[in-house]
Amino acid sequence: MIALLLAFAAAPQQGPPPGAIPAEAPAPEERPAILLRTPDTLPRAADGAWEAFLASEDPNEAFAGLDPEIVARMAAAEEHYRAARYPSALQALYDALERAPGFPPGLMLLGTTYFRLRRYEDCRESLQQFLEVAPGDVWRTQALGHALYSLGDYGGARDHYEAVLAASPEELGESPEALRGLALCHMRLGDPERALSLLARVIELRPGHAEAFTFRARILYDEDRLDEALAAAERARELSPYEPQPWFLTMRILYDLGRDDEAAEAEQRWQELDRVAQDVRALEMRLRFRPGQYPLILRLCELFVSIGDVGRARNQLAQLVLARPDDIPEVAVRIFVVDTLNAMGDAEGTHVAALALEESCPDDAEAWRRLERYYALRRDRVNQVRCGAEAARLEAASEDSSSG
Amino acid sequence: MHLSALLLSLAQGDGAPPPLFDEVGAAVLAGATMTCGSTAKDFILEVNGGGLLVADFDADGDEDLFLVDGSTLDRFRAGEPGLPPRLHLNGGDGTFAPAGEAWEVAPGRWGMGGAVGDVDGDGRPDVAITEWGPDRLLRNTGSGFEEITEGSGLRGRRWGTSAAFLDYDLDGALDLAVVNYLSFRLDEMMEKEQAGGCKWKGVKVMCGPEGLTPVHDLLYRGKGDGTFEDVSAAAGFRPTAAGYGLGVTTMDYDVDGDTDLYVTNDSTANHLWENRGDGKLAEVGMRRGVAHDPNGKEQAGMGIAVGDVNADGVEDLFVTNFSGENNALYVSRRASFRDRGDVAGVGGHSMRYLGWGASMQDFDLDGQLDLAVLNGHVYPQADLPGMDTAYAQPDFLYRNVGAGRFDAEPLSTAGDTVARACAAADFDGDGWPDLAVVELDGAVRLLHNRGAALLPEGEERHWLAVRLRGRGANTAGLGARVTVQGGGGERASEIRTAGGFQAAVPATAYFGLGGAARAERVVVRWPSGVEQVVEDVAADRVLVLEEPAAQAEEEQR
Repeated sequence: MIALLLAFAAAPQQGPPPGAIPAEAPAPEERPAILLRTPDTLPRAADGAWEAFLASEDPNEAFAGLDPEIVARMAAAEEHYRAARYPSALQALYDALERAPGFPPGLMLLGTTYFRLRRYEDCRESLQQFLEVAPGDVWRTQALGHALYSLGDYGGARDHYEAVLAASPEELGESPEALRGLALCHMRLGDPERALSLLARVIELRPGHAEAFTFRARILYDEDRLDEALAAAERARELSPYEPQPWFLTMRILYDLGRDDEAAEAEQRWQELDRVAQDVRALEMRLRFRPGQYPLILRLCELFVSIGDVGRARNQLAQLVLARPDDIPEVAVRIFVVDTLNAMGDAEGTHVAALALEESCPDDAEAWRRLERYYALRRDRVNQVRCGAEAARLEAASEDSSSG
Repeated sequence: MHLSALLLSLAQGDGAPPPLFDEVGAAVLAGATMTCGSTAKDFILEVNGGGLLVADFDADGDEDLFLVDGSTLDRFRAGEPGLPPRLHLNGGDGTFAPAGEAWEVAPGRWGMGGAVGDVDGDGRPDVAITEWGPDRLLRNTGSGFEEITEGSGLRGRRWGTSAAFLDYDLDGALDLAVVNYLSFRLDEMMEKEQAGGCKWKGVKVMCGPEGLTPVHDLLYRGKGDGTFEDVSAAAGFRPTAAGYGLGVTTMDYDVDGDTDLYVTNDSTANHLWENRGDGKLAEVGMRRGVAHDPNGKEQAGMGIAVGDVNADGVEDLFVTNFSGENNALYVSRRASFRDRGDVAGVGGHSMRYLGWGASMQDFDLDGQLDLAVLNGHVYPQADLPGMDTAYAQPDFLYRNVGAGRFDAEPLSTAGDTVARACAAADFDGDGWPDLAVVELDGAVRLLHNRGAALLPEGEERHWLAVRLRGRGANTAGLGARVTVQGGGGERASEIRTAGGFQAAVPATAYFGLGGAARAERVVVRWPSGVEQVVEDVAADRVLVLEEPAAQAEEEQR
């Protein structure tokens, strides 16, 4: 189901579905009370309380020995987290951690949830509590490095990333994200050669790591190695064509190289992508604290469509379907998804969306009419006729019932 | 025991080095407070605080304080004017008293900041005031202020924040740049509030600046007689998109002998205005790398400090930003600037703080430029859980430890406050630069530099201050470049009064000389192009230099 939803994609050529409101209109959201809690108020575990749990080699066995209420809350927390319902995830986690002080998986997920909410100090506190009860599991806590970095403590983040990498189990290998984080710390702390060498290792492990190329470009630019910087920025653009940052670096490098015309072109593309990125950041921030706001998700769809970013448009269209309020017919949203994907030229996504429309709205003539047009465009005569017939049948039935 | 001595001994008692600055405002500047709206801060108009303009207004040889005060929405709704600007005169020892009746100034609508410069060439510092309302001009008669706004040609009526006098066209008469913030209409803001308000980190806060309309800045060409002509459009002082202007400074960033302008904009790209030398300006912030952070993100530019931190002969820029953003140190490099704030130690450290006023001076007189940064949030809601910041914040001195790096330490004994504008000047004449600071809705603070008292026994630090007397209407030599060789190094500084965010500073170049009791050489490149050299200058004094006649003029005599 999730895979199907994620395969959806977007582009509002036919205008927004019914019920849409302008994204500028402030939503009447209130801040959930759970956001007033902080992890330093949690009860602490007794020394060694979780040693046996952590020592267990069979996770199922370890969880089997727990209070079922805790297990249920953790399951709920995980479900909320996966659905980006972070305040609800926090509520379930606090419930679990009140019942089971210091429960390591609870503290770990708490830290990660706070990181998603960009509450870096609370993330740091949660993960440090985790390390108090699970000191041998430092390799799991690269998010603590991310939090320290985001708080501007680059020295602390560097030390923590190094600890994470040193403690990583051999079978898991080096974490590219910990390596990337370590590289950025060295960049910020003024050791560009070390940073470049770590980024090279990230690229070795993940040749398609766009961000590694972007930061390679930035460091090389700062070092006035302009030709190398330009090559790295171009590679980052190939890997991540809708990210503004590689375009920004390209522009700056080209200006410094005196290639003004090309720089101006890069500037234009950067500005286009940057405007969208700014709006996206603002909307995503609002959704973190109050997930599932249909108008905001719709606006995100429109933004991704405007720059032709099929991947992220698909994701948001899937979210749009899930966030549909009751007063908006499902068929309207699902047709909007089909129209949008089709307008973006995303044949694969449109097909998945068409199948979902047929499966979800079998009693709606409007759905069948849209499917009829879809199959006509695909020159799939068999399905075109089948859908047309179904639409006709439903329309006739509707007329009969209204005349009767 | 004197309060400052008591605090010093207490601070030394815990093993930490005591802050360089001692907050002595209550003793030396009694009763000086600022008002900017209500403490709830429901509207963006209420968060900037007032302005600080420092100059020797009464020509008695010391630096006085002109306070630009604000207002409240209750006063505005009742049709009452704002609180009047006030001059406090320096008694010569760093203690201040309200100036007499002749210096009183009528209130405007809601004061913000301003600029200081001699607009009529009579040798006395005059004042431009920015307001949420009409820009204003005050002529210094020598014994008081005379309002000359009407007929002056100033026609800005929006929300001016900061301003700067400069001689951009090198005609000898001072010109004026006024930085505007945004279009603030109370009815529009009330509508936004009624529609649900605005959010920051999921919390309802005042609205803006995003969603409000930015207003273009203004450039006035001075005629040398206290009147001006708006040349914003003619000079090309119009960016493609207006920014939410908050700070301004003057600098010759490309060292071509004319004065450029740098404007910080809130939540929009900062602007660097390159003076083309033909009466036109071109916006090159993006191209020179001072418009955004290194990743291309717009920041909330507030305060500005200028100085040549890497001693390469070209001035660098320090910009304060919002919490969650790094303060930037744009260091000049060949074709463009690079933000070296993180590497220098002033970037990441600032992440939890919202910076406003900033000053780059050699505060410890060791021969290297340090940085003072004043902090305080705009949202009282910053104190809620999970914000990773706070409303009242500590201020920091970033002490230059060499090799392009700075160490952070508490700036003063003042503790955490909601600070705004600041201006550096040697108020007590001891050679150690002090600071005046606006605290939002609080007392004006005066931070006394007690560096001399903190020196290890037997160690000496020396200084030199340079003031200029120009031959034309630019009597303070704004835009001149002063280079001092001595103490084992060479340092340069421009003469400016622009103080970044809502502040003006004395037209004086301060130099720390470390242990050197003499400067080997002082070189002044005047805006006229004349170069003046003075050899073997004794330290620990204010050196006042008169502009020599240009060579051709000399020959004619």
